[in-house]
Amino acid sequence: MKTRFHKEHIIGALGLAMLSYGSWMGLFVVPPMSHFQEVGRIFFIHVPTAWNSLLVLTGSFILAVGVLINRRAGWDAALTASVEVGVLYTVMLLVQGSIWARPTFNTWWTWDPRLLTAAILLVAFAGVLSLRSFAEGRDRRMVWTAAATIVAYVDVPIVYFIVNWLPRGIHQPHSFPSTVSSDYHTALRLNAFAMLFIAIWFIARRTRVILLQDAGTAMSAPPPAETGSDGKPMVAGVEG
Amino acid sequence: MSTSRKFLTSCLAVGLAIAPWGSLLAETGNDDDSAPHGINTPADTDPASGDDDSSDTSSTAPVMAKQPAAPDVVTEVCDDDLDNDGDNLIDCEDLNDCASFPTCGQIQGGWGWVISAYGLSFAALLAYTLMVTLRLRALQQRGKS
Amino acid sequence: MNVLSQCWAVLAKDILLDLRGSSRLTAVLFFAMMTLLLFSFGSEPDPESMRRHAAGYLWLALLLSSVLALGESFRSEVEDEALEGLRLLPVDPRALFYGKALSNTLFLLVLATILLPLSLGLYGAEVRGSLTSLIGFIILGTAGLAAPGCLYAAMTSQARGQDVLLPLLLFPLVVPVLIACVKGTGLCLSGDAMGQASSLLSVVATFDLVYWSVCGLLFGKVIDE
Repeated sequence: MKTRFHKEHIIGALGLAMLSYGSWMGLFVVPPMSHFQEVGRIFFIHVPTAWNSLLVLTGSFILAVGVLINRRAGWDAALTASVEVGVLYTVMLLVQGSIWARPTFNTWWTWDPRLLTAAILLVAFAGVLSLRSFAEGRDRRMVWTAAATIVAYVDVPIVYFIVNWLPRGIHQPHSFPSTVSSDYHTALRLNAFAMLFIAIWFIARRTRVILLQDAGTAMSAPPPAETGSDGKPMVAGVEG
Repeated sequence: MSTSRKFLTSCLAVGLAIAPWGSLLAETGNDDDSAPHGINTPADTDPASGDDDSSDTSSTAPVMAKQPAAPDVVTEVCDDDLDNDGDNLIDCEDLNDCASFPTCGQIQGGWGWVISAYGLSFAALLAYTLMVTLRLRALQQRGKS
Repeated sequence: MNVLSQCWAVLAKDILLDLRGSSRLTAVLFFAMMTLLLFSFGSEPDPESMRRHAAGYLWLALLLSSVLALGESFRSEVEDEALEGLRLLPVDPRALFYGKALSNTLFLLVLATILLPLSLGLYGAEVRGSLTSLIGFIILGTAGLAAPGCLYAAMTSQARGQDVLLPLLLFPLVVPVLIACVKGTGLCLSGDAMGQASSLLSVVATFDLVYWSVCGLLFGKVIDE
């Protein structure tokens, strides 16, 4: 039987191609950094992951507000999917950062403000997913997930701006075109958009999974009991 | 164990297998002579060239960050490729201020760490892709049956 | 009844309940005291080290106690469907939230008032900096714990796994408040030569403002079924 072609595959394929080319450029084409040497090539996967984790979580905030306004199952599924992808990217970001820190600063972890707030971000949004799994009832689950996402989002601007507020930490300041060598712009931009497209593909696919799961749960629930003319429940289609 | 779980587990295993080898390579030290020695060596400077045009380093020594030094800074900032304290010594060359700075020294095993970081990232993306795809397929099959 | 008078009524109800049956305060107080003692067992018995970390131990004890206090505060609402009764009256959900948040802030303030001299005595610390700033940190810090705590306690009291969920959800959110209060309290105890306490107070006040407004807006949605 022919399966439908979902449009998100185009975005996913584009993301994959861009990630491959951008990573190849970052690994083999651009010159090594004068300060971090070869280890600095982790920059081309770490910074795009960081940007997109915050972007995806910002998207989840918007979806959460939408869920509270319209209470639609599709929005709720997309919200859950985007929180999940945001958590995935945040885990990747912390692992990449630790691997970069080990050879350059001789430690896997340090109590730098940005690292700390990023770890808090991970735990906060992982808590949102846990809350969802413990909540009973479709509407309650929807509203609680949205409310918890909105409150947890308070940490996202903190993660982004903390390097400006507390610049004495070990983490580098923001990466802008003006602060990054022009040799690195192409690879960085390619990977940034690649991670975004891949995130969109992930969210679309995961949304479909959640909607199908919820539809399956609704179908497998027992039907409401039929009642006879006297208001009493019928047994095997017979009144009384 | 179902086929999908075996597949997922295998992919995770492959991804996790890359990381320790990368780390092992990094920890035992990568004493490659072709790697630039010294943190401040421009990455693609031609050693045979006698031209000592130190005024134009932007094309031969790409830098991580270019930030102008504040005029009233008297302490050297050790990782900005600028002479902040005006003693004609930049970053790690300024031993008075930067001798103990963490990255003033050769970084051992660079490629091993890079392989670990990229390998784990790609493995995570692949694992999530497989999880979502296999789950979707299973649900679609169940819907048809 | 307007929102303010409803809020006051909810606050008065909670205070009355706590005064009549003081089991919640007693239980949480003894838990907090035990926590303070456990911290001293967990670290090396060096008087100077204990004195330096007294602020941290105090706030950690307050944080862990707040989880118990908040959970208990909403468990009493969920039992016998008292929360639904309040909603049906109808009580404005904002009044309900701010009343509960204020009552929990008051509860934690009472707890902190008892724990502060206790921790000063246990760890050999003294107030060398500004007492006013110290009181400010205690008030703003407990308010910063109470607001998001009330929102999450309202959710988790109606869910399975509430004992696990409430700390899991609450702790990441209150870390900025905790860090600022620990640092600020430490400066008030050891002396604040650089005058940093006021900027830390403004950090805590900012977080309080954000949490009290955001959580107040969301509370009504969360308790509706």
